[in-house]
Amino acid sequence: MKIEQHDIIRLTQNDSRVQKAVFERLYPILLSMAKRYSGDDMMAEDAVTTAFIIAFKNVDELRSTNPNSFFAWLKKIVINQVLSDLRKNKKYVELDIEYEATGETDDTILSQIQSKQLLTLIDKLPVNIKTVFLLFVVEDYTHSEISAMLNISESNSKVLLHRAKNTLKNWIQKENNLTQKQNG
Amino acid sequence: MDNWKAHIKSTFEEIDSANNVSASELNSKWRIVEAGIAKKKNKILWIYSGGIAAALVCIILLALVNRNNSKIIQNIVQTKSEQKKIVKENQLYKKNNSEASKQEFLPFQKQLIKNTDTNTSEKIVTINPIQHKIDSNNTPIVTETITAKISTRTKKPKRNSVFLSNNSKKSSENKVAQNPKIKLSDLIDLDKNGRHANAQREDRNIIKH
Repeated sequence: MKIEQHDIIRLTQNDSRVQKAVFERLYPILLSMAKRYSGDDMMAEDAVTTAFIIAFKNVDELRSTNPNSFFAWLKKIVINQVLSDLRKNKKYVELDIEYEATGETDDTILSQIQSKQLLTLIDKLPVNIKTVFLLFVVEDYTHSEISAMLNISESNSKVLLHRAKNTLKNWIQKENNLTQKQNG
Repeated sequence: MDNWKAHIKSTFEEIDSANNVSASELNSKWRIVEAGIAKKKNKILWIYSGGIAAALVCIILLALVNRNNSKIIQNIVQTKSEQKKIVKENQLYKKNNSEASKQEFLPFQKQLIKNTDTNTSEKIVTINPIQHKIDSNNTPIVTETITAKISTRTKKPKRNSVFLSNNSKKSSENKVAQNPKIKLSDLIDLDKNGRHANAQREDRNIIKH
């Protein structure tokens, strides 16, 4: 983490110098994350700046001075902002989710994915499937938390995650087959 | 944690931390954030200043109301004491009706202020008891005026009695001459012999003598 505990204390005192320093350190990280969720650079930029304004305005409400909890709180604000912007722009469409078996599957292929490949494939996913996948895998949210955030049921959250994994696996498999053919 | 999950998470974290933003972009975005924070501060300032202003207005209003009330009470007390004084002084004036006391006390000056209600005969009259009372240093003591509501009877106007002088009789005759449709008896109180009431009265006086 690039920020210290005393920074958080000074943030609660509305110290503008510290606010600027924290902004400069965390803006690039949060912008990258926001782009992943929204798939739109402009929307991501707006969401991150709005999130910083909200965070600095309400930093007094933060009970802990732990930098990790501050960063997690800030990330949550950014994600909520992106999701609300997506809903406003009607980019987040609720899917009619049919029941799917969400049992244990072989996910070893997912652990072989490389960063470039991962980014391109994640961008291809439909917004709601991608959101559930990112919230569960990257942000470590539980299905109950995801269901509360996205206003869906827990089972729907599980189904969407299962669908995301299967789609990614299929795409990785196809790409691997293509590269093997090209090499062979 | 599953391997695939840990792998994807770490991959994304690496991507995020490697993300670079130019200094100019950072500055421009910081200005937006700064403006957003200042908006809130301004809002808070407005709320505080508005509250303080409202409180001040309330305090001033309360002070004014209290001041007026105390003035009214003071006036009531003053007028009552003045009334008592006047009664006493009137009694004194009646008792000491000598020349010396006349010099000392002058009668009340009455002054009509305004007629509040034209339909009634009540009028507000200010009795100005400026009593030119002379103290030991030969300077006049002027007491305050008091306002009293008194009712005055307005005199009813007398009905216009038909009294015709010789001139009026002549004018009536002229009217008849000008307009032959009007009879002279319609205008003048004449008896059955066609004589005027005044002439009858004179006749009666002659008979008495």
